[in-house]
Amino acid sequence: MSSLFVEYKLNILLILIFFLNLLLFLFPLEKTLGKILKTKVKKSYIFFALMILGLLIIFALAKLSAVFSFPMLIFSLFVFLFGFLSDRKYIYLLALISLGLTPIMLILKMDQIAEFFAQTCYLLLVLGVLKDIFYEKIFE
Amino acid sequence: MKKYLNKGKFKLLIPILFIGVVAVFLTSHAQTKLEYYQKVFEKDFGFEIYKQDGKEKTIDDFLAGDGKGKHLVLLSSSVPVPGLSPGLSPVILVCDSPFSSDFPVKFYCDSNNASSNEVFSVDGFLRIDSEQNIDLWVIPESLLLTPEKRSETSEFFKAVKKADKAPLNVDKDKEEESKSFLDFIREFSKTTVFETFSIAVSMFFIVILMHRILKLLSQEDKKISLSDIKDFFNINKNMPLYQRIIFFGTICLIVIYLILMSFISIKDVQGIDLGYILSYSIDCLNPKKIITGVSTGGYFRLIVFFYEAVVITLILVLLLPSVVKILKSASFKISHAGIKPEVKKYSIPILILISLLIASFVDISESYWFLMLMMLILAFIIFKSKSDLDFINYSGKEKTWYICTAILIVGLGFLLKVREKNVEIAYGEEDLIGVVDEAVVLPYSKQLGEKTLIHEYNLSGSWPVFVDHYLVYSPNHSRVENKNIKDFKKEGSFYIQNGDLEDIISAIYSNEALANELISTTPTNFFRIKSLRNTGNDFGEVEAVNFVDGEGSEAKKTDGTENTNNSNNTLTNISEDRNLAKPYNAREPKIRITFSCKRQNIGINDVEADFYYLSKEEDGSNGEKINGEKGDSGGDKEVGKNEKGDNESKIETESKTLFYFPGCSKMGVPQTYEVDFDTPYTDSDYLFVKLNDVLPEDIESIEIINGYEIINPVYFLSKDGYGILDSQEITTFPNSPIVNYIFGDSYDLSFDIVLNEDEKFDISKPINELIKEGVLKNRFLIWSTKKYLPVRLP
Repeated sequence: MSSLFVEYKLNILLILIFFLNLLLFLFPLEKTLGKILKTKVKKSYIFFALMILGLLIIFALAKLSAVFSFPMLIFSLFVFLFGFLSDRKYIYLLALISLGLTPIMLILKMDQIAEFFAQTCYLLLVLGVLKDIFYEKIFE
Repeated sequence: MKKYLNKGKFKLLIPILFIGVVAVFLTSHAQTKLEYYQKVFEKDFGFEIYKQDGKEKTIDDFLAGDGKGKHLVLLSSSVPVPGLSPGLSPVILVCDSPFSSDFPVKFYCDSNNASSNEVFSVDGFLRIDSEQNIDLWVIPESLLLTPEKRSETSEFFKAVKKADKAPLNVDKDKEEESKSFLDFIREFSKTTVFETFSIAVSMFFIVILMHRILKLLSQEDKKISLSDIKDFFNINKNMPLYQRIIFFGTICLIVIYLILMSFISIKDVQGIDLGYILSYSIDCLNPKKIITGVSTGGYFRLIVFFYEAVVITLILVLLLPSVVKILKSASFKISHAGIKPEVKKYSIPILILISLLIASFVDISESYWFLMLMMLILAFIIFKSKSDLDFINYSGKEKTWYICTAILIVGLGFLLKVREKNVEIAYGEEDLIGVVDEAVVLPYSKQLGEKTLIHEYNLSGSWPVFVDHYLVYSPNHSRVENKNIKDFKKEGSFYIQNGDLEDIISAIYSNEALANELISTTPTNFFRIKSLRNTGNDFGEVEAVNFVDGEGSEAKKTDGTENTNNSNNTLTNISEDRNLAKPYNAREPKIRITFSCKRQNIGINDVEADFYYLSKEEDGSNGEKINGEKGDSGGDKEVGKNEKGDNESKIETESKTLFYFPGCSKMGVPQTYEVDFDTPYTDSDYLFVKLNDVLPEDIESIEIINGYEIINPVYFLSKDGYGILDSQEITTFPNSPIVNYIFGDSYDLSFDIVLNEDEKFDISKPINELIKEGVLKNRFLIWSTKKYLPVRLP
């Protein structure tokens, strides 16, 4: 049993961080911490501190792949949010343009670019539909 | 028709027709046998062929280095007068008449067969891939005459080419460590994160390129007028001067590029093919292909690469203001988006619960990106609700529900991990030879799937088969025992595997019998000398040192015939005070290396030496102590040692370039170089030296000149990659066991060779044991002492 704890020590630590985060949002833990530290502590501060710790554990577990992935994920999320928050007309127009460009590229024997435009068209349509369904439910 | 063929057109057509007919007659001529085989080997067997025409491309040009990497096809009936020579490589020798040669190995061939005592015949042909940089295929003509034979031979060509590509590295851990950053990038580029990122980047650039047109098309209640379109195309209207210059410069460069590419397309594919232009352009951006092209004199691609780089840079500079604008706009939108309070309230615990689920049940090294994504979304929501976080309240029921769910997830995850630990791993099975090729020869590099064992694989034959360092099949032996080298005993039949040099040296230090066994009677590139810094005889004194081994001592002289019987070779130490200061007239030690020059091009520009020596703990905790000391620097010394000291010693390495190697002036005439021999400072008694990238056969002799004394080193057997360093086959008792000794960490694998009804042995059993023990994983090499041993026949 102890070997299991040793083997998964970082995983256990990560689970503990998530669990603490959950408790943080369910209970006013920040007040207790504030009393101990004799200063005002905000929920968000504790959350970001725990998240940084969690990220460091993930970096330690997945090493270079995680370090590389992190900025890429930030950018991908940024682009997704930008698309999600953009005017739906732009999304559908871009999907239409991509759709139109796909056969043109195929005729020009630029198969790889045609495939790219077909993918783009599909993803933009998905984005448009997601926006139509969820935007008003999520954002004010 | 007559009307159509008016005078003008007729005048034009006649010369074209004439040129065409003349060209046809000029190019077509009778095909010689040599030309025929050149075509066959190029088109049917996929070899790169050096096409000699006797005028512009001759054998002399080939010898001079023209057509690097291409194969020269020769007919045995018309081999040039000097015969096969070292520079003539790679060569495909089609035997259409009896032919014999002593170079690079002794072989004979005629139109029906090819034979050699030194090289294994693969399906009737010889593949001489000698270590002397000679690449020779000897193929009897009969193998190429009938469709069946030709097809079979073709399969074997494929198999041999694949076997040549099988990696023969010995130290996999080092290989893993030395995995280049480029390899990592290559693997990373196949991950979901990278694919998502590349889609995000391309989408972002599409938005940058099309935001004007999108705005134009999405204008409501306004008809698109001609002026709008003019404005759209007249994008340089409000540009600053520098941007205008860049804009028009880029347009000009693109037009010139397109014209250039059109010419290339016409030249290469006889027409303007946009697909070809695109692939050519992308190819020109591939650094690997550029380097290959430049090394073979293809400078045009390099020029195109720089041209493309300039155009791309200019386009990026032009797009930079748009990028900044879009980034600002996107940041503004995201920062000003307000999330609904109920979404905040429920999304936070739900996202945390999902993260808990992933962290508890899935391997984090594989799902790290998903966890990071969850954390980023969570961070975004928290960031957007910094001010009202304190106002989010959960009812007692909700709190209980969330906490119970979290505890349940964590508990179940823990139980699953405990179960996984106790339950035996469920293995899948796959074929040992996983390729669909009709013919397969050893060595074969096997890529093993995760948690996968090998299907039954029955083998027979008269050659042993190894998997990495482990012997899994041996003919004429009733039992196979794979043992660690520390258990080495010179008795019965055995193989000594090649290994990591540090492990070999360590084993030599600790096992005298092994040290004696590995000594080479002929000079090699791996040798041992007494540490020069410890001898204290820089000016020619002959030193005698007593070695204490617990049973007695033995005198030893560095008199040029170094004795390896230095007790049990446990570590000895010499007090530092014996490293005397050199007198003013002390001469630096020198090394004199005589190269055999059996091959003209040894393939090195400088001679690098790796020094290996035992280093000891300096805090004295290793128990080393000097028992006594007699005499001065030239006198006898008694040195203490113990086992603990041995255990705490480790092999240190140091590399040095000894000298720049200008090459051999004449092939076969030994060439001697004498240079300073600056050895590392060490307390160790012995210094092992390995000359890098030099083959053992390249060394004629090595001498160390220390003052007025010449020291002949003790040579050891040396090999690169997987292989047998030394072996002993006792044939008088054929059914005796054979022991395979392995250097470094190893698993003791022993099994009886029990043949089935077909007189074959199932090698999957020992291999699966090695897989289950974690000895074999990912990629391993199946090999034999005979290269190109067929394991699957067409």
